[in-house]
Amino acid sequence: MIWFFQVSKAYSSGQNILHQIDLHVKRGEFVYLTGSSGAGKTTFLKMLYAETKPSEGEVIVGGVDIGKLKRKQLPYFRRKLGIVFQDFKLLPRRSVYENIAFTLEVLGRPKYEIRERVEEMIEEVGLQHCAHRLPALLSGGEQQRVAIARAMIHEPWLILADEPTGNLDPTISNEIFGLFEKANRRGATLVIATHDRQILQQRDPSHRHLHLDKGGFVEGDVEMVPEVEPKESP
Amino acid sequence: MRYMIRHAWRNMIESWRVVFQTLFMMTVCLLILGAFGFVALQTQNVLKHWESEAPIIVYLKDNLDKKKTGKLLEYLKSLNEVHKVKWVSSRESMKRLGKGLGDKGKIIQELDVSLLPNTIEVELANHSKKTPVILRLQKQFSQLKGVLEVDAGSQWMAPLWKMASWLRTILWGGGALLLLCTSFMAASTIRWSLLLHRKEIEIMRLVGATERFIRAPFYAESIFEGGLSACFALLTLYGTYMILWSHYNGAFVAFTSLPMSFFPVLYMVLFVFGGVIAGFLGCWIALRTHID
Repeated sequence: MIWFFQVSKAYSSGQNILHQIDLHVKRGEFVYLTGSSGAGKTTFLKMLYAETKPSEGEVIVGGVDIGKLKRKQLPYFRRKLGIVFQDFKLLPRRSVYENIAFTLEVLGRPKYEIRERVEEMIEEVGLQHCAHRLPALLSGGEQQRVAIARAMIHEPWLILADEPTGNLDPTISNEIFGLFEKANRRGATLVIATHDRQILQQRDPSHRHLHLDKGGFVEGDVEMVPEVEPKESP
Repeated sequence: MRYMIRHAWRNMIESWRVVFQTLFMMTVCLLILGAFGFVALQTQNVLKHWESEAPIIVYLKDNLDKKKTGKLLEYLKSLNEVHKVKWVSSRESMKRLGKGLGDKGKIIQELDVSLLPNTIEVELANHSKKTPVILRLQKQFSQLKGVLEVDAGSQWMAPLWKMASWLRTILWGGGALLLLCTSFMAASTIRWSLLLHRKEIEIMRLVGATERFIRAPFYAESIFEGGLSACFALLTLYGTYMILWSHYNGAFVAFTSLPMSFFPVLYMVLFVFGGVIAGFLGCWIALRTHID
């Protein structure tokens, strides 16, 4: 499903982010991606949704070679994916309903289908009480649920999430991961970049954990270095 | 299509101040263009009218005998540009003048002395009823032996023709420039709209919207603004025309023997189409520089 063959990524500044990575992710897998800041988690995800191309090697996602993907083909490729960001990326002047419906509108689905699917999705993520509110009037957890609903509404086979719980408290984070697990049970492949150690500790043992370090992957449980060293008490 | 129109409308509502300013500026530009067009149209109409109406009148010298007059008539008739020639005696000319003056002309009709010279009226062929041809023939005839003077319609024909040529040049050159200005104004609104919706565009790309789908609402907005500005400019021009008509049409008819006229429907459609094209071009410029 996802193949990385000897993939390296270096930026024009000369910074080498990823170095000769080999990886295979099977369909339906749930993958946690960890690593310190600047380890290349976002770059790795960006390659998966073809926002950036590898400097060397081949990245194959759902049979598509990202390096050879043409600009015109990009929209059709992205329609098979769902992407969730830490900063939610919601449309500020549109209601929850409109934000979720946006993906289907872009895909040109008929109006009745959009209405039906959006209502189902709003119920699934538990946002019935605020369906017609603007994102600014929602809590962080609610906003992220809108973003997840938008990413899942067209039933993509691959869902990518970049620090989806970065701004949320632990209870809300658990709820958010619950939604991801639901999507995974339906058959979607998930790749989630996270710093949330609590989530990793509680994760299902069948979920895979990849740790990015020094431009390469370390598979399995790794001791995670906290992002910010805790201050010593006086 | 409905999505495109809905989004274009939403874009305009969200940035209505900028849209309003742009509409105003575009209307002013198109109004200037339309005003030039209006003057050019009147000039063109008057010229056409004068060209079709007026025969060339060749005044003959008093000492020209019958033989020489006959030769002159034959020569004029042989010209390609000439359809018909008619010799008019001085007495006949006096009669016509008298009739033209109505009651006051009786004195002239009763005069026994001929004050006017013999003349030849030259009626031109249809293909020659054009100001440059008329002016050329006037010059050519006046150089003939036995010809006193040549009158080719109105004395204003030559200056009016020059003015029409200038207006045509200004209309094409200035028109292109003004349409470009209109396009740049449309481009600035679209640029603003793009800035306002950059987050939306980013999300659209992430969820798999095609470039055509992303760009279409901006094109719709720009085309609508261009068309609407052209309509506003036309309405303002029509209002001005009505005012001019009510105050100055009498004087205009007295001078040109033709009433003022507004643009025909085809010209109006072309004018609105020009506005639409300017809007489209503006959007294309903005998208090319800010979205790629």
